[in-house]
Amino acid sequence: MSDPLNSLVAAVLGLDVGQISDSARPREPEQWDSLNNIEIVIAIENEFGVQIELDEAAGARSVGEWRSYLKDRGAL
Amino acid sequence: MSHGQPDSAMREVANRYPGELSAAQAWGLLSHSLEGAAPLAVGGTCTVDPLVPLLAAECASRGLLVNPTLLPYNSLFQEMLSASGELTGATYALLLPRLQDLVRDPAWPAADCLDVADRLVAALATFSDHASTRLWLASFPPPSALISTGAHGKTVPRAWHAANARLAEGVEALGSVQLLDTNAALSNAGAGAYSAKSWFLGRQPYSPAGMQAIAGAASRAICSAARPAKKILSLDCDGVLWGGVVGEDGWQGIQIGDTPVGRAHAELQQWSLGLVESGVVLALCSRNREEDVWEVFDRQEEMVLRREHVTVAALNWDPKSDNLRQIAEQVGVGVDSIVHVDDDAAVIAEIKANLPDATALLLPRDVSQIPEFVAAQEVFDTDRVTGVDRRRGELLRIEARRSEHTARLSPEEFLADLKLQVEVREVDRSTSARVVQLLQRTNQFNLTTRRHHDGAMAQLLARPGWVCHTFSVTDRFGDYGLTAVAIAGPDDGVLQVDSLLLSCRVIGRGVEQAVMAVLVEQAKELGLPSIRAQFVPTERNEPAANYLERMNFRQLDDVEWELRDVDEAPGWPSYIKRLDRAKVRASG
Repeated sequence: MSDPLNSLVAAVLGLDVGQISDSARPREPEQWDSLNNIEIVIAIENEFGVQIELDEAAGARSVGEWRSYLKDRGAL
Repeated sequence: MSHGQPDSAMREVANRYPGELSAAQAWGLLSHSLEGAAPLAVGGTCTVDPLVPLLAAECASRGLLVNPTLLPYNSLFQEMLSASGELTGATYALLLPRLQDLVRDPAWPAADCLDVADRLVAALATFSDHASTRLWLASFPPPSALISTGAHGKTVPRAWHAANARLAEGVEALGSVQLLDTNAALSNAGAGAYSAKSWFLGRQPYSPAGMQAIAGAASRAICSAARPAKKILSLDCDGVLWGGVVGEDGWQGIQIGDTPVGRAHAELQQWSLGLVESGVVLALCSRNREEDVWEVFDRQEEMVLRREHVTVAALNWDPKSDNLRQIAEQVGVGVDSIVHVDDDAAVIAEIKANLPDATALLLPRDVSQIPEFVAAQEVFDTDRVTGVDRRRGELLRIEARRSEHTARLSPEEFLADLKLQVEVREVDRSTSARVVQLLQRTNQFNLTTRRHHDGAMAQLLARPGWVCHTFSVTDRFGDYGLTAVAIAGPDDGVLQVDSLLLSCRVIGRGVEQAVMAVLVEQAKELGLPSIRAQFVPTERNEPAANYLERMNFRQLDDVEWELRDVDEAPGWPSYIKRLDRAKVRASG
């Protein structure tokens, strides 16, 4: 069973889940552009049942940072 | 598809999207093998980039390989009016304008909205003059809650409806442009179709679910335009047309109409009727006794479909793949034009195994899912219903009935249906020329091929008891005139047949049997117990070869045959009406 956050990011970026690590962030990999960043934010909201405020959504969090964000809110 | 590579990527996407593969992952697979893909230009007045992988995946899962490319942001008008843009080179195009982006005044004045619609239609008209791109224009999406519930809450929705109506009118006149109902597509995704967050983040008004809904509807429309339409809807009866089993429950006991299960099945019938009216041919393919099924159609008043809507019926226990193959043959289309709906998974499997080109659909076990089931069936989608389509259904129905008649009627029924009439007379002055002509010319059904002339015939008929009977034949298709002749008389204690012939125009309808019945009468009138005849084979009288045997004659030698007891001959055929005229003896 692969990590749900990594799977989510991989699905949006069109990559295999193995290509996603905690260090992945906007522009690294290149597929993680601003539009895909929006999709990742919306997908995290839907998947983990959290409401991400707009200024947080506009930030450039890495996968590891999103993981901490979700853990802090008890969503992961 | 001629390229192996796209085929395998398409297959993988078809099998795994959307369950195991995201649109982006599917697009990743497809984008490596786009040789032969149809260019699909996508543009909007807002951010529509997420549609690219979605359209590729949705089209691929429907069997169409497209290569979606984005038009520059908010450049719809420029693209339409340019003779050399990306849009012009595309096979397909999807354009998504929004009033929100094109009308500056937040009050959405009706005149401004209509003006936007008119300008779009004018640009499309210009575009379709110089391009052959098949274009889908997404209708204006609804105004957001923000403006439709605020100060302009009454005027804005009205202006939106009016602008869409204007768009629809204008597009209808353009052959190469279709309107895509954006609001209907977004409604399917529910309230979650929109996302203020993604709008604020990136001018992208729809959530991933909303984008998916638009891509799904657009792909459905594009793919239905790209593939040949299905022509036959074949339905199982028990559990599909109605609830219950007619063979056990009887026509009164099945569920159709005003019961919970009956209403669901009525909905399926309603859908089927709509398809019939749009030109689809309706077939029944069901394991039932024919009488049971037709009794339902004839007596059950709750039936939405009537007997006249059914073009072909295969009501038997043969494998359905065989029946469907025959149905396609009867209608004169390929088996790939057939869609069969059944409630038996084993039947679906049998069809898929033995007739893979046909489409077999399993009706949901829970019939309350029928509305969703029929709405999801894309195979019958067509751009528009034309008069020709309507007429095609009618023509095919007539054609199938025609071939059905020869296929299903017994020979006896066929003959009875002909409404044959035979007038029996003895030759007279008015007919002797015709009789001589037949004696000279008839080759095929002619027992002895004796070419009597006037004189020889007169001599023959001068002998006591000798008669030349003539037979004039009509049926529902026409009047064949005097087409059979029998010359016979007493000789050596039996009725001897000198000549017996039929014009080839009336062979095989029982006239030959009528001729024999008249000879039997003649023999009885003369008190003769037997009839003798000859069959003299020629190169061309094969059609008469087994006639005497069929009339229960026994062969005496090479040419001589005898009907020992005249009562052994088959009588006058019951399906032929006999018309007799007063006998007039031909005088010598």
